[in-house]
Amino acid sequence: MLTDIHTANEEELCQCPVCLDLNSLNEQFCQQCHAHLHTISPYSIQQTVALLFTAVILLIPANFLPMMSTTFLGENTQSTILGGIILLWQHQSYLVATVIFFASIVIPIGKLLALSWLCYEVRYKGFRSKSLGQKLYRLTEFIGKWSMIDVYVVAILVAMVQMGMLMKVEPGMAAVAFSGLVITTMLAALTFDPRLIWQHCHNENSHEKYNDHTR
Amino acid sequence: MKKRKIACHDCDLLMLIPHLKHRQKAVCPRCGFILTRFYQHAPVKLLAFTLTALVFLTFSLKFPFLNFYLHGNEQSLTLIESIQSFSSINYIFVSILLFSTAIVIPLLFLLSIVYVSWSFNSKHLLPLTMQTLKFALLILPWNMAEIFLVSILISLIKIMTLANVGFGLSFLFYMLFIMSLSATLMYFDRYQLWSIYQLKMKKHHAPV
Repeated sequence: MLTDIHTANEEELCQCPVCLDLNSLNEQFCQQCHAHLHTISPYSIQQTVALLFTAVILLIPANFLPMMSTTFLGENTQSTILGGIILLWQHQSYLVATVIFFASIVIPIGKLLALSWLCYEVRYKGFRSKSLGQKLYRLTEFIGKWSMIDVYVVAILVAMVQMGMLMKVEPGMAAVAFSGLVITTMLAALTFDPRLIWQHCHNENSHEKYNDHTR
Repeated sequence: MKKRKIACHDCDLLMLIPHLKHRQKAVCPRCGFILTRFYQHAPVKLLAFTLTALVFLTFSLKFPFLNFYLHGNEQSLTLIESIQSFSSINYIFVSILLFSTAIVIPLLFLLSIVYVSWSFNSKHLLPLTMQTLKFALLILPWNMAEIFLVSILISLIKIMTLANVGFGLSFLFYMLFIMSLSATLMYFDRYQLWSIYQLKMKKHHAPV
């Protein structure tokens, strides 16, 4: 079945990302739904890289500023993301600590590393292990929004615990930075074009052809 | 349904999708991307679950979400209040983000599916069907309702040591809403919906 495979790009076609209709390569907008068409171009990763840089910058305030400040019987404690996780671990709620550790530290950083690796491979290496790249991309796309858990938790706690002088929870600036981080990494994953992983896959002719389209 | 040539979303491979039976899915032979899933009577099931989800979402806004007891003080909280409290302390950005991802986007998504299904079931396509379908596909990645549900459970465990917390009626409705939303997403298939759209358009423009 795989003996005579052709990609849409080789047949001078470009698929609309919204309605899956095939358009000819010189169209700018889809004939059916008028969505903007993207031809495969290695320059499309510049957008992804720019968003990744923004995310890295946001990572700093998100991790070092306080996420939440708790006032209990007049005593004020501020905690960062990592501080909150350590506190939970000490209080023996291991499950919650693990979930939050994965959601707010492992997933964002892992996502940044995965997307940077994908961009690096697209730009300099041309992908030696394509299926690994594909799997990584799909995982990144799927798991990305789960890092919002910590921001939601803070929001719910803030709303629940407003008991005047007795106890009070307030969000910190890290909540803003962290939500920005999640948004930018999600956008970075959305702007990355997975078709770049698979180009120059089965024959070398496609390489010349694709150069013609980009210049 | 007529065979239609499509390219894989992930690897751009051109292929024909064969005729699918109930519960079968078409997978890209090169990269393993799931191109489409076929369910019998999917449009009807889609509409049914969408309406169910809408009903549960409306109910979950009305009643208290969580009850909270500490040193004789009792406080109950609705879904809207939980987000309002954030905006009242100068965290507008986060508040808008949470409100839209947990409530507004799922709501708009469901409403647009209702409109599209209604349009597909009527004799002629209603105006703006294509735009509505496009809009639904655009906002779908930003739906975070299920994450909100998990966050509620985590925050409950977090403060269980400090105070007595109980689930309100809304929590049950929100859980049912998430279940129906997942069912809706199961029957929401980009390829199948656009195929129906094309079929309808052809009928509409066919010379009599």
